[in-house]
Amino acid sequence: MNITDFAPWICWISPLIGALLTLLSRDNTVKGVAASSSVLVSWISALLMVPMVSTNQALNVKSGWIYLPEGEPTSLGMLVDSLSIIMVNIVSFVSFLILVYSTWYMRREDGQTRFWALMSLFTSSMLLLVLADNFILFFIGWKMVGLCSFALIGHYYRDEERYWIGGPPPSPFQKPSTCALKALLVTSFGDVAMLSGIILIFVYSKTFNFVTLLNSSPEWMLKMAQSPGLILASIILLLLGVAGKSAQFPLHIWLPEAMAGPAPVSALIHAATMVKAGVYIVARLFPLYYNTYWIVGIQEARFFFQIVAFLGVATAFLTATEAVTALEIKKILAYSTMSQIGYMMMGLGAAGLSQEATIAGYSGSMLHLLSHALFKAALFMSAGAVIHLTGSIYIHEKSLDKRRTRLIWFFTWVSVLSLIGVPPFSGFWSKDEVLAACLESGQILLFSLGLLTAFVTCLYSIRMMYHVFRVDAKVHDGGGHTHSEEEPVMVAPIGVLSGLSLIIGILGYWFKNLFKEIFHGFLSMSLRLETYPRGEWVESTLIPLSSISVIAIASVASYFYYVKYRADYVNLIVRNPILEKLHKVFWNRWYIDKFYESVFVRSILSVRSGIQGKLETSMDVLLNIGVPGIFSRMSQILRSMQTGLLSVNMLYVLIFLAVMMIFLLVG
Amino acid sequence: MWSSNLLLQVIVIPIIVSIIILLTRGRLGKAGAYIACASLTYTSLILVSLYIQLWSSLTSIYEEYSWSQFLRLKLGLLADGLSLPIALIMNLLCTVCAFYSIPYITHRIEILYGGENDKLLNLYFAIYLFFAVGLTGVALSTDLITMYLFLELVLIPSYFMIDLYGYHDRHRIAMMYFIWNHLGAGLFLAGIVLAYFSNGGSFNIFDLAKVQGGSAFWVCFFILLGWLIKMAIFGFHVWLPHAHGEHPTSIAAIIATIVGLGNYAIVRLLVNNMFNAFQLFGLPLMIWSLVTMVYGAFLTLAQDDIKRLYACSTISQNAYSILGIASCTTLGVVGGIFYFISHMIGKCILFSVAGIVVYLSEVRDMRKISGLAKLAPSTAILAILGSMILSAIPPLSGFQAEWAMFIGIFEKSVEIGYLVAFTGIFATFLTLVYTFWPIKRVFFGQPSFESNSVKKEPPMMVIPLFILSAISILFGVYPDFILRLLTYSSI
Repeated sequence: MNITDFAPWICWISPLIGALLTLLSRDNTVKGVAASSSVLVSWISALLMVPMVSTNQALNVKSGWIYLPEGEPTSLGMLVDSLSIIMVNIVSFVSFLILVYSTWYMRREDGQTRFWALMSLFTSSMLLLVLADNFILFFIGWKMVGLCSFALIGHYYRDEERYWIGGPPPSPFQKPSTCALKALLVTSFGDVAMLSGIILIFVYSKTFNFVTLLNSSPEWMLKMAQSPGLILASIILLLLGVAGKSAQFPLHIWLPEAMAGPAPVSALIHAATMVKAGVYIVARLFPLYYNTYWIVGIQEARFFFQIVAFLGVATAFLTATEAVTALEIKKILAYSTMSQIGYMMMGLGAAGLSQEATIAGYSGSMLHLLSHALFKAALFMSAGAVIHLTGSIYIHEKSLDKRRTRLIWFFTWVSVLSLIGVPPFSGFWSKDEVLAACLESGQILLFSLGLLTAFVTCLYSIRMMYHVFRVDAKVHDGGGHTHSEEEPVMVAPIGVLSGLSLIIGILGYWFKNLFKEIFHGFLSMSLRLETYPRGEWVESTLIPLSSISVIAIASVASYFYYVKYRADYVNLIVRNPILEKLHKVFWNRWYIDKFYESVFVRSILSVRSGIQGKLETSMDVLLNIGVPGIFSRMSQILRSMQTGLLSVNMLYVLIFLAVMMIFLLVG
Repeated sequence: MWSSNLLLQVIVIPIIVSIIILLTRGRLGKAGAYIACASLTYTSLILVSLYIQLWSSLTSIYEEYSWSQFLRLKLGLLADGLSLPIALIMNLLCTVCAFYSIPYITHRIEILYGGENDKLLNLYFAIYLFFAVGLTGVALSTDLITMYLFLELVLIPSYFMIDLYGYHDRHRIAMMYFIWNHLGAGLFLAGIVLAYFSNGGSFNIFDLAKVQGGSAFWVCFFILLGWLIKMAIFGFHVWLPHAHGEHPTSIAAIIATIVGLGNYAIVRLLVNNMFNAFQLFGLPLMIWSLVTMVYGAFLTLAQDDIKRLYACSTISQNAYSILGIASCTTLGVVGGIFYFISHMIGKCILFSVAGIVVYLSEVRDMRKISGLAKLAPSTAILAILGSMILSAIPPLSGFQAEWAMFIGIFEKSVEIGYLVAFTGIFATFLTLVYTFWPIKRVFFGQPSFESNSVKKEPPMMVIPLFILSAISILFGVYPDFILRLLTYSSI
């Protein structure tokens, strides 16, 4: 028995136990400690698995679970390979820091039991979905992540006015409970699609196990390919699930509202759990479709990569532009999450479209997942601190006093620079790797849109930073004293995360190649290529140069626009009709939200009365009043047919009684 | 000696207790209620022990008693992989609702008849016990006539329940409910009689297999149609929202179970014994159930009355099981039954939640209640748990049942095209909308009333429901606990 046999189980079960423990105690501090330490245990067991990365071996620990009358029994099993090990380390580590931060953020909030139990359960479900060795177990984690997010987004379910988001007027406000429901419905729509994709695959492959699916893919994929369009259908269905959970176009509309919960919840959703799940499953299924396309030669499998790349780039660009106009700090960060996840998708898509770009795209996207987890968790926690200290969710109303929040100011800048992709922060290396993969795979459109998105990213980041730490604006009321308002338990997690962004960035070149080595090993194990094209790994200077220059131009532009001239965007926009139009489109999120609302929400609400009032009532009247009415008329005819014979009369009486029974019912 | 007639005890003990309660004419007072609950707990425990025994040994239990020498009728009780899970769940639901009934019906009698009334309270429990007898009997019986009689044993008490303890339009609705159900029962009886004459004079369920040729079609037709009317399939569903709107909520789960019982009957009678004849009805039935699913879902969305809401969702949810069964594949049938069981648990929880909401706020209109979660947190959690079962969110049992069932439906699609399967699975999304939207309306938002004006949720109403949720979680975490039995008897 090896320690690594137990580690994956302890990893996801520990927060589950933590969630149960939080229910037992009445003391809020105990709850926080129980939840955080259970996640700490997860992280330690995740670290124990790290040595396995170097061996390039997959460990599948399983036991019997569900026996169906057909197909391979579904096991309760853990799949430990490089991909899942790296994921669980990111998830458990970031979640742990967020939970530590929550002990500060939540200390005066209501509903702590709910909060801590759900946060632990959330982490546990995410770890379960990463470690699961089959689709069913994976999907259980996947759905529970969705449910926990629903409950956590709706943490302030009483909808007090101070928790409303949206606005400022004339834009409408949204209530937390509505936002929670929106998140649940949109992601679940994707889930339904994904479940049907999984079932469709099972019907042909007779297994849910990821390893068996991959090994037997040539057989069942060929069987499936006999009915044209079926593989494409399964791809679309699976990716709809991904789009729902990872907030990618066209199901990206829920994430901006998902910030209605407390800040740690947003941090967890955006950095560690939930939205990363979609990237993970794409990476998990990557070898399956890669083999099918490149080895078995089924053309339809290529759609997997095309759709992933398209969704990624569309989301990356659309949401980045929306971030430029947003006024709520958490909404800007939410848009930027979708945009960054888009990069990861782009990388994975490009990786599958060309053999040259495979390793760069795959490892780049995973590296970006890591950098994004670090800087986005830090940014959301800073945003939580900003909102907590200023009491405003908007960036233009109040700003932080830099003198009293020096550490936050510093750490936030580090994370923002990583988000922009400035060297030597980790975001620079990972974003460049993704862009390099796009270029190497020959997808010029992907590359240029990616570059353009980097430009927009720089714009909105600097805009946000300028507003939050403005010098001249109304500074929040600090009660007259100038000592620091930072508390260690709040600053430490932010500091650790942004420090890691910096360290990984400084070691960036080495780290990037480490990731390449790891995923080269991983892919050469799961991909069936005879001679694996190792790729040139050309350290072309083109990409860093172009991205740095794009960022330079963007920062100069935003410096002049936002900082130097303190641009009053209202004035500027009013003067320029094109900018005004653009601003309107961006502010209204390209009208995608409004479109969905009118097509799905309003239409259902408007047919409600018709269904009950017209359709159902007419059927009701017909069957419960009309048909008995016919009987009653018939009985009148019968009554006129008196024959005088006793037996016939008795029959009449019987019929009459029966009819009267119905008649009474009508009356 | 006691262990040799356990199944008979399950049937007879509640009847004896009921007669005792009736004979004491209300002198037992509240004790009568507790005696009824105790007897049901006992029968449930018997079934649980039999279940564990069957699960580990996979050998069916059969008991036979001579009933009428003259008509050659026998009371045969069979507990196999199909009937025992159904019998157990129904008995459990009856037990849970019996406990739930104590505070609920006391309150109801106070409102209806002014003040406490031990006679009416005891009458309620005396009638109530027949539900457990009837439902368990339908599941266990091996004979068409006894099955029919047990069915009547549920229908007639439920008429009195609605008439005596229901809401404002209860007399008319009780009659409507009774007539509709007898239309179904009558057709079922016609099928039974037809089968009797075409298989050489046997009422035994397993002799249905002997019915051949054209009469097999008609036997199948009548039995199927009879049960479909009782299952409130589209077109014949108009009685269900009325019945559920007016009955006392404590028997809501029972009425919903009667509605869903058709799933079991179709599998036991037709799928297991007349598979060839039943297959002819497969495709039309799939389409019919699809229409019911979608229409039922939209109808549910259209409701503002919390009791009618869950009634309409029963229409839609039952059609899922029919869709699975009509696919005529092993997993479709197994999943359909599993889904039915899981739906029953979920619906029992949700109806009872609706009952608690009405009990606490005296309001049924969801437009007039909001923010109840602060005052009734356990009820809110139960509402979410019940909705999770219905909308197939793990770790509750609905999820495991749903995917198993849809594998069966998708396998059928290889022959008939994927339109039915895709429409079916996407219709499940509507379930999520119509279960979670009401939760938001009723439990979230700013409270619609003063916090001290509302009663506390009685533990007697809440705890039994948490036990049911735990059972659902058990099936959800370890689905083999039920799948093993269902697959064993379907092969």
